[in-house]
Amino acid sequence: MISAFRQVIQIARLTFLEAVRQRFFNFLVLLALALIGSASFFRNFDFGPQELRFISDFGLGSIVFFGSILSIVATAQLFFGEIENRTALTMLAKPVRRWSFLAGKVLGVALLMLVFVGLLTVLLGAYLWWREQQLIAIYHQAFLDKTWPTDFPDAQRVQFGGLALNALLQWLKFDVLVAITMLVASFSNTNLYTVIVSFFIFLICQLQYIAHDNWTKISSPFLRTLAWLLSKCFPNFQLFAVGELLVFPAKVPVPHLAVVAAIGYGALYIVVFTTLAVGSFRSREI
Amino acid sequence: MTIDYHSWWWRQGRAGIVIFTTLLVVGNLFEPLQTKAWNPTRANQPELNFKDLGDNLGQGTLLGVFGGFRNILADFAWLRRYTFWEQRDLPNTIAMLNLATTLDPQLQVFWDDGSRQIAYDIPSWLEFERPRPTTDAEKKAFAEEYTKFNHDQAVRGLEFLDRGLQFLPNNYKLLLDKAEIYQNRLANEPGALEEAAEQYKLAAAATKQVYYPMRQSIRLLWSLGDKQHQFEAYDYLKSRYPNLPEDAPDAQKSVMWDTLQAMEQVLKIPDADRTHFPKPANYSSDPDFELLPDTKLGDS
Amino acid sequence: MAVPAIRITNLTKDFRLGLRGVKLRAVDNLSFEVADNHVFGLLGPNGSGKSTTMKVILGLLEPTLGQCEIFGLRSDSVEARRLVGYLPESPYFYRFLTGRELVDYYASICSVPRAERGQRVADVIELVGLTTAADRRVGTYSKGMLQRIGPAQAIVHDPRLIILDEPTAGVDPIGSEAISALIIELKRRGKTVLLCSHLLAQVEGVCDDLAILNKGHLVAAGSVGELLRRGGQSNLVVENFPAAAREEIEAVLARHGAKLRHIDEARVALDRLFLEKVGPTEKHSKDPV
Repeated sequence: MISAFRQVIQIARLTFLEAVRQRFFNFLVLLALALIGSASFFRNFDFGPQELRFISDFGLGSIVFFGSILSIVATAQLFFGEIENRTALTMLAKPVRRWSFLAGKVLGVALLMLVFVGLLTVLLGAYLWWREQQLIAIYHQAFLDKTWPTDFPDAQRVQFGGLALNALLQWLKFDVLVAITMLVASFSNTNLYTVIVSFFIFLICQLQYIAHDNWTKISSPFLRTLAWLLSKCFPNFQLFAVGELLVFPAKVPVPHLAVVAAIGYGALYIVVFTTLAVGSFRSREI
Repeated sequence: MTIDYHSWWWRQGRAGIVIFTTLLVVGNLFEPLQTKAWNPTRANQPELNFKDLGDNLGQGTLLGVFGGFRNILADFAWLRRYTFWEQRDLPNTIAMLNLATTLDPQLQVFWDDGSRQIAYDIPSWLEFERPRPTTDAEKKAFAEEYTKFNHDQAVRGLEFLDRGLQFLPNNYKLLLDKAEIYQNRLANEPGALEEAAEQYKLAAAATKQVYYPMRQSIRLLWSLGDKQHQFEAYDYLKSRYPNLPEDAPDAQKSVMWDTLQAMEQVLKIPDADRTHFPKPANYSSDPDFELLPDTKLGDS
Repeated sequence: MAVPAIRITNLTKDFRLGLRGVKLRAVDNLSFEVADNHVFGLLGPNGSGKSTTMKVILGLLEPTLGQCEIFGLRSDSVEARRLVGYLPESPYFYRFLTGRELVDYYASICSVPRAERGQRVADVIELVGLTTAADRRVGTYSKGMLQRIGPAQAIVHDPRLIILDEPTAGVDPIGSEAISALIIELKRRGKTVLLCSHLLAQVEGVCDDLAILNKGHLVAAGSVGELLRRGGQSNLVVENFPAAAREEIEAVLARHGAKLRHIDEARVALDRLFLEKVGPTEKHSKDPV
């Protein structure tokens, strides 16, 4: 068993090394960086103390948008690359269990997403910190000059611990998406089909909360059952937005238990989808 | 009928049933976790009103909303609004304002800045829409149209702020904006200044740090000139003065003390009924300072 | 009796095509054995079922009927795959790794102990003749070098059975000769080799036994010598063959009831000539010449 886990680590390591060399990954990182960097133009507009909130929305939105795309496309590409190049053949002809191979691929892409989220969050955090110091100084001076009634309000200051926790939650969400994509890839024949179906599932997961909150209000029995099934069979991706509430003080305070529950939810779904992918892949003819 | 266990239908169907059943069981098992994490998130997320999105719900917006990118879409709409504002494009400016505030109604700056554009900027666009009037009749017609348009925009600005206050109840800045619209854009309307004073009071109550709205409320009530409103101003100041901090420059406690003395003199309050608050510790007087309209400290 | 390296018994494999599940029988009731420490050639035209058979041996496909064993173990078990090294046809390797890193990676995947891994990797790289290029990235390798790094990754974990699928596809005769040399060396070290190749001259030169498949059926199997023997005929190679000697020989043969059918000029094989002109001086074959 230990050797099987060692194989998982080895395969994950190589998957990660292969992934960071993909042009697509580098392109998306640059795009996301450009979007975050464009937030510096917001200084030309007067957002008042909420400028940091605006920058944060922009930056976090970029991470979520590009991260979602990368999760799906990278997983599909790395899986089907192995199939098409027949490196999967070489690998599975060795004393490698199929579950080790698949788990290694999932872990490798998860590492890629960790780098993606970590890098962009650090850069966003650094920019927010720098701009926050500037705004604090500007508002303090204005307060001393009596041209502004208050110092920079605490409610608009960035909670960097919350930003880090948000990064963790987004990374977990991306990993669930990676595991979902791997499940689709395990029985799909083509890269394109995998990407399209995975995006469709991603949208369903983003909207699952509507079915979850409203299925009891539907009058039609058929639609009510369908909504109930959707709310049970697909994870709720919106709940990972609890992380965004930690970056600035929330209207309704977020209990610590909610964050722990979201982390547990994400981790468990990663295991579930990866296990289903392994089960499906076992009977796949290479 | 014999079952072909190697057929595509059997193999894929069996796999599909296994996956579906597993996810259904797991979804039910994880329900407590989901509820624990989702409830606080839901409490902080405003309902998405698709009706307000209206014509803006094009493919890109729909995809973005469904993809969970409300905030960043709202930001893009907000930035796009600036372009239309520069071009004095009224329908698109309003459309982008509505889109931004519908997608992300929690951002105060959208309502604050938006209300200013509606109530102050847009009325001034009228002169660019009309040819310059040359005759007296044209000037008269333009003035009437401008006055009406000004009034309508001010009312729209107030309605816009009322919508914002539904999402940001008791928000000091939005209440302040309402007060300023009543005072600056609707001053000639009957009851507008009383309403402005009331909004200033609400704004003052919504903040512990800013004292300007309090002073404005007092100033406006006093400026109405009649005894009822002047007594209202005096009672309001009397109630607020004891809680004014000594060390906050914005509170202007010395000025407020002087104002109380001036009010009591003007209103001829009997000595026994006066407040007799002690002078502030760091009292400094400015005899020329005019807090109350047409009333200086030296007046009695 | 020694356990055969591969034992295939009544192997049948059907594929289902499309939604209607049209059955395509790729291999039909195939049975043969590969003896331990033999070089076995698996031949057949395209679509004969060779790849399917190989994938069943490697545990990558499940047989519809029948079974396959590797040294007595089920071929789809991890334990069986520990005993097998595999080189696929036209292999692709991770271009960003050096040759040494690639072989080391596969060694670690196959659980070669860390203490031995470095030496083992160096040994197999030397065996395939890539020592000077071991620290270059695989993406910079020529076709011939790729064909040599392939066997290196297949044997780094010291398997007992090595399966080579078209190891000389697209390789020049010198490279092909090197592969032949490697196969001979592996046999000398006690390994069993299963070779799939369309280069029949090479198969004939290195294999002990072979099987020929056609349309999923086994059409011939046995040792190379037995299969290629023409019953009732012998070859003689003669130097300085004058016409008078020919007449005498014909007369002798006639007395013994034999007949001289035809006389050809002795020819050297083209690949032999090529190697003499451009390649290494030693010819590698299981038969001395």
